[in-house]
Amino acid sequence: MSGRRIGAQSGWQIFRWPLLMGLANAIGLVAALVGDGWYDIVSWVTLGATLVIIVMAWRGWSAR
Amino acid sequence: MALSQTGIRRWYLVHKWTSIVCTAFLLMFCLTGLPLIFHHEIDELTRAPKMAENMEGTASLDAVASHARAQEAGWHVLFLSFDDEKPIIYAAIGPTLTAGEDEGKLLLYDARSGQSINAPPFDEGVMAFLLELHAHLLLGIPGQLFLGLVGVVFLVAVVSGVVVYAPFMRKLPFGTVRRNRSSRLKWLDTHNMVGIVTLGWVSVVGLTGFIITMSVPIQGIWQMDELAEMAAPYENAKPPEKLASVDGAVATVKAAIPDAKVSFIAWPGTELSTKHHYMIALAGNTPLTERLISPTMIDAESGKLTDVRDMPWYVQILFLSVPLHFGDYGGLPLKIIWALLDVAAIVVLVSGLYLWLGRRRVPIEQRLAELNSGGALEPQPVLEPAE
Repeated sequence: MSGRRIGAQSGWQIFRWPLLMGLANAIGLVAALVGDGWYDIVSWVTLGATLVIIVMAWRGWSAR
Repeated sequence: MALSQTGIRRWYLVHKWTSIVCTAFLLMFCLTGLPLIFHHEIDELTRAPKMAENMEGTASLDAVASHARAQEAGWHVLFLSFDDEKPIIYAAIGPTLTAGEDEGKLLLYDARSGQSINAPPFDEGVMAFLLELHAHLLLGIPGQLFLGLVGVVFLVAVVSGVVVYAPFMRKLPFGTVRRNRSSRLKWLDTHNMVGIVTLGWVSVVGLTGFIITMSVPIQGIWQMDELAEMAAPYENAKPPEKLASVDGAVATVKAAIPDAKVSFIAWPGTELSTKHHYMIALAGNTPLTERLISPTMIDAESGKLTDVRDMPWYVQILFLSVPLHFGDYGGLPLKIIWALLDVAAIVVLVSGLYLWLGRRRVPIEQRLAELNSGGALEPQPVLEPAE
């Protein structure tokens, strides 16, 4: 993905991924507050996904 | 919602200046916050009080209170509070009933035997220092309120950052980091990518941090509002001469509310009660409701239950902000994730600082042209060092 030129994007195209990430973060932040056990795991997975995305994006998605 | 050229320029400058104002404080928050996430674990390893094992029983709260009161001549018991993991009672005493944390003392008792536990003071040690720096800038309540102001500036920096993200990313796919072009571009893309991905977490931690800095005014509003309402019927009464038994007060509450979990007991005349009541705070049993205490008022003369209510919404928001700020509500894995997200926030701060410090090589007109081109038009640096 890195460096690939694309046409002008709309606001929705620019923000759909950030919105999805924000939603995942929100679910993760609330889940562990609501309950224990599975709720905690939901929280770890959704918030942990943020870290995975950072590492993947920084490495250039496809790079190993 | 395309922005005009002047609109983009304005938001860009808002982002730049609000960030410059608060970056030093935010770095302090992130660096002191990192070990503070593990405050509990570090304390457990380094300064946990020694507890007797295999003991049964329930301490008399009256005995604990009178022992605590006797430690300093002329002092008062302010509150008793119960550890939520271990059988420990914390007894706060102070020279006056309204003494603050820094004037009073916190004593530890075994909740089973009622015996005094020897423990190092809470306001000493590295972690206590880091917390003082993080929460008060070592300046007490004025420092806390000032940091609240920093929090507001920070939230403006976050919002303006999102606004300038849009024109910048117009021609770049989500998550682009151009690592092979120039060092500036790599840091700029890293700043934008990590910033936008951690937006949700950073906003929540920033906003809840701001709410926590407002705890003094929030408590003040509650005192003037609901606490004053509960004290009103006693306006002309003399303060109780002899206080009713605390054990009796707790028994009364437990008889009225069988599944009550007592979290702490504030003495009459303290900040958290009226002059005529013990305020017995009850906590729920789920991770959510154990943070939302409900005040139960016991007449300190007659020992009768006079009021049970939930805290008003503004106090509940304060209570819920605490776990959402500290990340201490989902086990050790959540704390580790919290710490890594904290490191990600440091990356955003440091990359932003780098871009600002390197700004002289790239005139603002070129930086704005880059924004307007949707990130495609890379400015030609005046003096770009070779990588």
